[in-house]
Amino acid sequence: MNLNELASQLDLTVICEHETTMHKPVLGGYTGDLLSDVMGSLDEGFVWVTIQTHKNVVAVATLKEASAVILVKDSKLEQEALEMAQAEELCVYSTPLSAFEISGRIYNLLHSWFC
Amino acid sequence: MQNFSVDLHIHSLHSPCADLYMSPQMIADRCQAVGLQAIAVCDHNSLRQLPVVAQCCQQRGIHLFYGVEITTQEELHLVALLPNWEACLQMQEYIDTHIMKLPYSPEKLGDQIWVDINEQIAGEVDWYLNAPLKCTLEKMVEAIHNMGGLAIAAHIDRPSYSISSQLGFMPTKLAIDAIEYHRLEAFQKMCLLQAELKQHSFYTASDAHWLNQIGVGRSLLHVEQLNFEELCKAFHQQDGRFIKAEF
Repeated sequence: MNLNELASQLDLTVICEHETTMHKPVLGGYTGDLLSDVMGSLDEGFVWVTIQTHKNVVAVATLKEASAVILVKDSKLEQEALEMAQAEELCVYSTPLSAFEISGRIYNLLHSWFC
Repeated sequence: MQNFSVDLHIHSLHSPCADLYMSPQMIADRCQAVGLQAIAVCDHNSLRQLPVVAQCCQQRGIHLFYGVEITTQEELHLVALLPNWEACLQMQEYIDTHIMKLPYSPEKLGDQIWVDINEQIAGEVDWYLNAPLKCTLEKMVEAIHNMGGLAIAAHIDRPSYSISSQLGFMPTKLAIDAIEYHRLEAFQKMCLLQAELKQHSFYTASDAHWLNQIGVGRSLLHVEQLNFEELCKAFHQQDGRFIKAEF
C-alpha cells in the first residue's frame, strides 16, 4: 500500500505532503513518543505515530528514512519543525484519533494488504 | 579567583518524589557536613520552599542559588537558576498558569507540602508538581532568559525526563546555558555522537532526593565570589571563570 492510499483510507489531514515521497510503499509502522526509543525501532518505509511535535521528530524520521509521521489527537508541528519537514520532503499528517486507535487501523490496513 | 565546591541540583521535601527528611534545616546541615559552599535547591515546578531554605543556608554560611526544575511539554526537565526572589515570583506565576493541573493523590505520588523554619507544615500544593507545562523546550528557555535566569539541561544522559530520552539528542540552536550530566561515561558517549555538546559548559550535580545523596555529584565553581553574576560568567566561560565536575 502506498502512503497516499493509506492517508486517504484513514482520512488523515495533510500537514505537509510531497509528490516524490507520497507514492512510496508503506512497509510497517511504529508508535512512540520517546525519541530515544523510536530511533532504535523505526525503519525505512515505516509510518511513525506520535504526539511529539518538536523539530527533532523531523530529524529522526528523515534519519531513519521513515515514509511519514502521523500526529495524533490533532497535534500540529511546531513552526520550525514544519519548515524542516518541508525542506526535507517529509510527509506529515494529523488525525483526531488517539495513538491506540490510529495504530490499530494502520495495522489492519497493512495486514490485510500483505495477506 | 577562588574555587568553591557546589551542588546545583538538590530537591527539598516539597518535591513529591523526595524524602520527607529533606527539610531546609536538614539540607543545610548536611551541606555543611559534606563541605558544600554553594547549592541550588530545585523542586519540581515550585519555588515555594526556597525562602526558608535561604534562611537556613544563610545561618550556616552556605550560598543558595534560587532554582526550580521545570517539566516542559516534551516531558523533559530543565533546571532554571534565577537571579533574585523577584524573578522567582515571576517564574512561579508563569509555571502556575502553564502547568497541566492534573489530579493528584499524595498516597500514590508523594507529599507536596512545604515547611516553615520550625519544620511545621506551612502549605501544600494540590495539583501534581511534576506535571508538564504547556510550553515547549524552546519557549521555556526563552522565558527563563526573559526573567534573567540560566537554563540548564537537567541530567542530560538519564533514561527518563531528559533531552536524550525525550528528544533523542540536543536540538540544534537551542540557547541553553549549560548541561548537567549524571554519569560521566554516559555523557561522554553522547558527546561522541554530538561533538557540539562540549561547546556548552557542562558539570554534574547530585539531583539529591535523599539526604545521603547531597554532594555526591558536585562541581567546582571557579569565580571571584559567590553571586549570580559570577555564576553567569562561569557558565559562559567569561573572564577566566568556569564550572567543571569535581572528583
